[in-house]
Amino acid sequence: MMISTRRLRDGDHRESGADRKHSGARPVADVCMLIDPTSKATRESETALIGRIRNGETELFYELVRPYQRDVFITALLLLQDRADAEEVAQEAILKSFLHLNQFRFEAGFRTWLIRITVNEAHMRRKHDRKSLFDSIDEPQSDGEGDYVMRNFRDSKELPEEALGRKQIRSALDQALTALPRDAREILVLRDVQQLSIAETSQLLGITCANVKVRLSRARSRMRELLTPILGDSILRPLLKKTR
Amino acid sequence: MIDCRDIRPELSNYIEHEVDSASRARIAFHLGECEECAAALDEIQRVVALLADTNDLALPAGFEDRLRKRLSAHIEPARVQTPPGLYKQAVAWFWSHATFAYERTLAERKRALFAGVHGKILEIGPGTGANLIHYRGRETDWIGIEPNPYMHAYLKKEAEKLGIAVDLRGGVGERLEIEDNSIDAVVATLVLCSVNNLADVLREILRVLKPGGQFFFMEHVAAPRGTWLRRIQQWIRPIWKPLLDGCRPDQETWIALEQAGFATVTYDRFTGPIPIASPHIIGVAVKKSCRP
Repeated sequence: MMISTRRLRDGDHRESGADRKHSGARPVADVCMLIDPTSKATRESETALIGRIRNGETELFYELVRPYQRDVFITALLLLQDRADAEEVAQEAILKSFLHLNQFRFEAGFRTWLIRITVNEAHMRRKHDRKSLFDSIDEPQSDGEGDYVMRNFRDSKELPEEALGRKQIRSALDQALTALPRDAREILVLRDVQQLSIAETSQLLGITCANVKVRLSRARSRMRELLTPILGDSILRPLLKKTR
Repeated sequence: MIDCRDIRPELSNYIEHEVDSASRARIAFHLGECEECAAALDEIQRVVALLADTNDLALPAGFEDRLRKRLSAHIEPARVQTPPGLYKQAVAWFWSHATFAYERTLAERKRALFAGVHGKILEIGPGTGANLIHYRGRETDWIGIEPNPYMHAYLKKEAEKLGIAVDLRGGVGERLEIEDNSIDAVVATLVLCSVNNLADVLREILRVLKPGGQFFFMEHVAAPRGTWLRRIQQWIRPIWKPLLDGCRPDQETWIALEQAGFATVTYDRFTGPIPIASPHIIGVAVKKSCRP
């Protein structure tokens, strides 16, 4: 996912502000409609696939889950900040989604359901291993930037200094996320990383939409404070320039 | 006078259109006046954008392999519990000795189907060579991929008897060790009901076929939904599958064929001489040709 151009345009706030792909403009109220971001065609083919898997064609499960494996892993990784734990949690979440596929009610998209299971699994894992939870931002974990595999960027023209910039940004993001309390970290991962709608996030976390907005606002402000050293820094410039 | 302290908590909702129009106007006006709040908004937008950009995070190498290993106990229980050697020998013997009546009954249909098979041929799951007789007297370049090694001896004997040169290999349909766009005709009869992953097999068939190449198939399939036969097929499946080498009596193979990405899929339905698995389809699927 490239950095959204809309969100970074200068002066955007004076006109329309940043837009969110799936939430759209809607009347402000304490209740919010559940909008499924999955396209109709994907939804239909997923429904058919799930039906066939439930009917016994279990091998098709890999096809169902393949497009979301990375989302599941990234959710676990950003919540836990440890690649090995994240893989374990991601695999466990996918296994559970298979074992409980009969309980899937098609109310939300399969992806949202899978992310919900992942968040729960990560939560359980954290209970087991509390020590890494609230590490201070001043004490970066040993598995820092070197642990991340640089992915094939869609824009292959990325310059080396941009790649380096990304590493630094990722490291700063990791440290900031680690410094946040659990609920703030969760809301940022669900809304800003996985781009779930406010309604989906509210349903997933079992809190009201108003609560989602309040938590999100606080979490973003806290992230902004924690990231202040890099937000105006030169390492961001090459990445931001590309998005203008 | 609007206070910055009132504005700041609203900025997150403001960038998502989650404020009413009056508040929106109020905030916009303030942002025009207050450089600090405008900068704060800009920074929150940057935070949101940085979080959304996960381009640098990849799945660990081998993730899906490990996932498959973990799920294998649940996805293919029958296969895992099967004692391989003896069982596969028994299956090979069964196909070699007990399918004459079936082949005789369907000989006419198969002959008509195989009339179109020519060029470089790849047969997936040729078993003990029941289809070889249909290539007799024709010049063929035939490759067979048969995962059960105990079938190989029967097939080679049959090929020798009919005077047909064969290139018989081990392997599975889900991962064909065949070059892309290199095969004129792929053949599979009574195979798709037993493969581990039907979608993967069809994807591989499409990959190896030349543009315009054809896939010839004859399969027993699920009875129509809602029929008694379909219920019986579903009911008997847990016993049927481990006994008959992973065969699924209620597989809707035609749907998978239609969704696989062939340019055309043409088939007839008929009733075959297998109890419970009597609904059959026979036909040809054609890969898209390169020509516009």
